[in-house]
Amino acid sequence: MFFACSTLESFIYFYIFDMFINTTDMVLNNFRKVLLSFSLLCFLLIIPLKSDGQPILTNPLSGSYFQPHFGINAGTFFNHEDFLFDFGLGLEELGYDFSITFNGSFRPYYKKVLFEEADNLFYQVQERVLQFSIDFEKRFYFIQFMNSSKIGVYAMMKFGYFYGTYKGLKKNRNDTFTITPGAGLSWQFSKISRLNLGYLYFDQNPYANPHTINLKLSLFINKDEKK
Amino acid sequence: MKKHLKYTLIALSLIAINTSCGKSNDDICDPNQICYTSKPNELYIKLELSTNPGSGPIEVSLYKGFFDDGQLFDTFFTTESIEYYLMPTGERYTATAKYDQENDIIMVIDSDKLTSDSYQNCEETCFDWDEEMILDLKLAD
Repeated sequence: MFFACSTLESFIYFYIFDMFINTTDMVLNNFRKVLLSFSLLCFLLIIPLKSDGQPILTNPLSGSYFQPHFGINAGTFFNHEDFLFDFGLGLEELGYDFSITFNGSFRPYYKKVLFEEADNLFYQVQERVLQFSIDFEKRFYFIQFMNSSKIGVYAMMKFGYFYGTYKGLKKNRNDTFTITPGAGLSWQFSKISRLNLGYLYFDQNPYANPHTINLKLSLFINKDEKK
Repeated sequence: MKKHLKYTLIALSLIAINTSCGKSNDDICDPNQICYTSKPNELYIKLELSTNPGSGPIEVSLYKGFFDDGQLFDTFFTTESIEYYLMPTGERYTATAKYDQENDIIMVIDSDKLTSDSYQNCEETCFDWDEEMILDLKLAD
């Protein structure tokens, strides 16, 4: 009886001790991770390679004053099934970080597609697609560097008219008014240029996957830049 | 930075001007160059076909103009993988091929304009053309 009781006590003591060790180890591990992340953040924020590369955390919702500029952009959206070019021009607002541009997008080659024309009758034709759109884009920068470059996220919406042209068919098809949403990362790497990398839901494209990667370079004329 | 933008815009403008207007890259002045001064009246259309999955002959049609807005010129059945037509230039032609696949019919459509190019050689207009215009009526993989 005594032996049994002693064994049970030993077991409980051992179990509690083991649990304590495990918990301490877990806390220390997490603490180590937190400490490492904090150190890395401090390193990035306090010890940049160049003095003008000093990063500052900014409020992504704050704006400064109205700074409208004319801008042009060139980009692409693509996936494993399709590839389109996208060019645009319009307003670039650098104070409140938004833009309103007129864009034209097109597939630069013909792609063979198959669609059902009637019961048991399919057409295989070569397709090109085009879209004209007004693009609204809002950017939220949360890191700004002393050399004026900024890193943040963007959200955009294309309001446009889409249609497909088909070799051998005079009439355009699949024409529709469309809303195309997108979002991603935005890097304004100088006072006159910005690079966006993100996702675009190009659902109106009838014979390709709608999930596309969007890469866009924007250039704008900035009168306030240093010479 | 402003200089960079200026140079970028200038370079883009030059590329646009160079590709959109002015003398064609084919314009030359070489008296020894063979020059065909008369425009060809007829050229070949080559129709490339696949094997019919339904194992029967393929119904091929040729239209002057577009398929949905043109004139049917000829229809025939074939088991060959290549067919030729000699047709007048300066017109668009559309060809179709009907394949049987199980219970379905797949109609492959292709179209192009049958033309010849021209260029200036020492103030003389010369004509150049491809051996044939290919219409791809093969089934996609």
